[in-house]
Amino acid sequence: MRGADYVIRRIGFALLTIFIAITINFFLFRVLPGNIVSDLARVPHATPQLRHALTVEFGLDRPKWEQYLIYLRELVHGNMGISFASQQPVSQLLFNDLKNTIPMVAIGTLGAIVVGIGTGILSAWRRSSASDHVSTNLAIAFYAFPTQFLGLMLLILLGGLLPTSGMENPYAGVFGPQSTVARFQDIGLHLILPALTLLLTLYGEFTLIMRSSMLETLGEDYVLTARAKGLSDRRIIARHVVRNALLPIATLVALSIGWIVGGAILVEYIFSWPGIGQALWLAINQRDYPMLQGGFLILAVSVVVLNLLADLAYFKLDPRISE
Amino acid sequence: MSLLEVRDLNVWFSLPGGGELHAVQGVSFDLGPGERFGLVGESGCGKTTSILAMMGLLPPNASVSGEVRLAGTDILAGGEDSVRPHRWTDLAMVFQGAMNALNPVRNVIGQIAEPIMLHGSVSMAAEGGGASMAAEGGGASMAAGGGGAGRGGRGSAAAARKRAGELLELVGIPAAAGARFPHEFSGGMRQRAAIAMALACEPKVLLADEPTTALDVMVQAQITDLLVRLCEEFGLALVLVTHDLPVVAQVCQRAAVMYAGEIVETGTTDSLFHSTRHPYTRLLFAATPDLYADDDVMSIPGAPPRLDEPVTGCPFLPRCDSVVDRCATERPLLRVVASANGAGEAGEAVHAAACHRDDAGGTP
Repeated sequence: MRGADYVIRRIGFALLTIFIAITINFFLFRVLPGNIVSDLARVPHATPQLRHALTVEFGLDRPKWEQYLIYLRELVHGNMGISFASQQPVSQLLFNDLKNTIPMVAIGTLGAIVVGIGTGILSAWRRSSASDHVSTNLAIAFYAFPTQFLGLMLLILLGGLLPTSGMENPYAGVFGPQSTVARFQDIGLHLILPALTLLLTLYGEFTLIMRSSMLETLGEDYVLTARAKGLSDRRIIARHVVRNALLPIATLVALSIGWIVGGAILVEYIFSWPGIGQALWLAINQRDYPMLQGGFLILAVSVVVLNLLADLAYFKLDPRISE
Repeated sequence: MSLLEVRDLNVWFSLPGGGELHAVQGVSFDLGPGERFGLVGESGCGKTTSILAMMGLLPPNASVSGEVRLAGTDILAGGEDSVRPHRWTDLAMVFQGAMNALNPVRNVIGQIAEPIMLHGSVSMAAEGGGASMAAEGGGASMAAGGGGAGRGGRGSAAAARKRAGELLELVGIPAAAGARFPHEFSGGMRQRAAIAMALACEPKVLLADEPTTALDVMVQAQITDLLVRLCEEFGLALVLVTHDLPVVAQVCQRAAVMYAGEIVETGTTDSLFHSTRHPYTRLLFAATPDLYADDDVMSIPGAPPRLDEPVTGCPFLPRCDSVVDRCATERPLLRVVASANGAGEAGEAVHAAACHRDDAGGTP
């Protein structure tokens, strides 16, 4: 089969990348100034004895290489350590955050991809028409807006209509049990604004790149051949242009999807979405190294894995790529 | 009656900075069934533009006037809607540099089968005893293909692919190789595949745009032979666009030489080669390397005139080696200089040239 080799090599490369990321991740936090104990030391009445006890408890008195080996061993067993701040297992905390982040960011990002590629195709097809100008200029405008500005504008403009904070109505269920349907409806409403912010900030790039990629493809000789063969415009676009034009987009899509897991720190912060982005921001403030380390790890792994998927998709889309 | 009549074809391109470029200026020619006609000239003289205009394939910034009559009907009269039904079914095209004429992400056989699925194929429609073109042409392999292929004009995907496989065999590529992608083909194979694709709907006229350019000489010879063989076998008429005079001599019965958007000399290949009338044609021959001659290859100094400005007098004047007084003031028109049967009427074998020297009676 074509490229079994290619697939295996790509997977091997991805695993190696992840291992290197883990290692860098570990030592990064060991060279940063300050640790949990020095942070706790700001607590009044903390005695040197207490500090020492804490250092020993967290294993910070051991040599770095030993800490590294312990870290690797525990990681293999799915243990990402205990959060300094909340004393709960990091893996469990991050899992809960991920569960909240993924639906919101996925809807925003996938929406942006669909809207962006769709408008890009239409723009290129109706090149230089009024709708092309409107669509392209809108895309540039939204692409240029900083996330926080767009988020705040949406919050101000639509704040009266839609919930602006959190993932669920905190008072729901206070006056009696809430049905599952009602709960999902509530979450759905809360999800609209952050997902929309994300969609609007991301889609412009897809529109612009898809449009230029389409225009480039439309100038290819094989598109002229397709016209000469008597194919209708619609059929030419569908069969001979879109797939070829999608090739440059594949990488961009993969990189964007990689961030679905990483969350969108700004968006989560603006709309108080209890996801992984917020959690990481909080962890930075609290110097919660295990939490940060876990978060970074998940980020790195997801980016590597999704890049791998992009490579494989690219391989499927373009027969010219071989071993 | 001629199969294809091109009458006073003009093409203007509107330029981005305003202004227009008159790329094709009053081109007319006739093509009989099964006839092979060459359009010769240097780059930018309007030969490719002419044949793209004939199929209505020019970009939106081009405006076209004139008629392209196919069996008496002007196919350009109704714009895109009137020309599309004729594409590939009546007029098919083999593109310049087949490298890029095939979509790189689709396999070859699918691209050949595509127009068959869209338009059907004469052989497939005629199955069960119709008068198929292939049967008339006596093409054994093609007729066999028609017999075995589909149930109706618009065949199923499987029938179309089967037919596409037969076409590949016809141009000398194993049908099984059709499952491969264009980048896995050599240049010659790609050109063969492009020819197979052009034959898919059994057109009456094949427009071939520099089909042998960018191929090495051996492959060039194979491709020209293939084109001639197919035309003869299936009674296909061919318009061959090329800058390569020897190829025209090998393939075509008649030819026209284009310069700066217009035809400056036309006639049978024989008369063009042996009783050349126009200085440009003569210089063009002198610029062709000759294996057996000792003479150096000459080049024609200068460049063609700009086509976005009106030209007074003869467009070839600045580069001509035999200028007379009238050349600077009066534009020479295409005039019959000799015809096979001695009559001056426009006919198949007419030899015409656009040069003042001919009016004076001198041989340039």
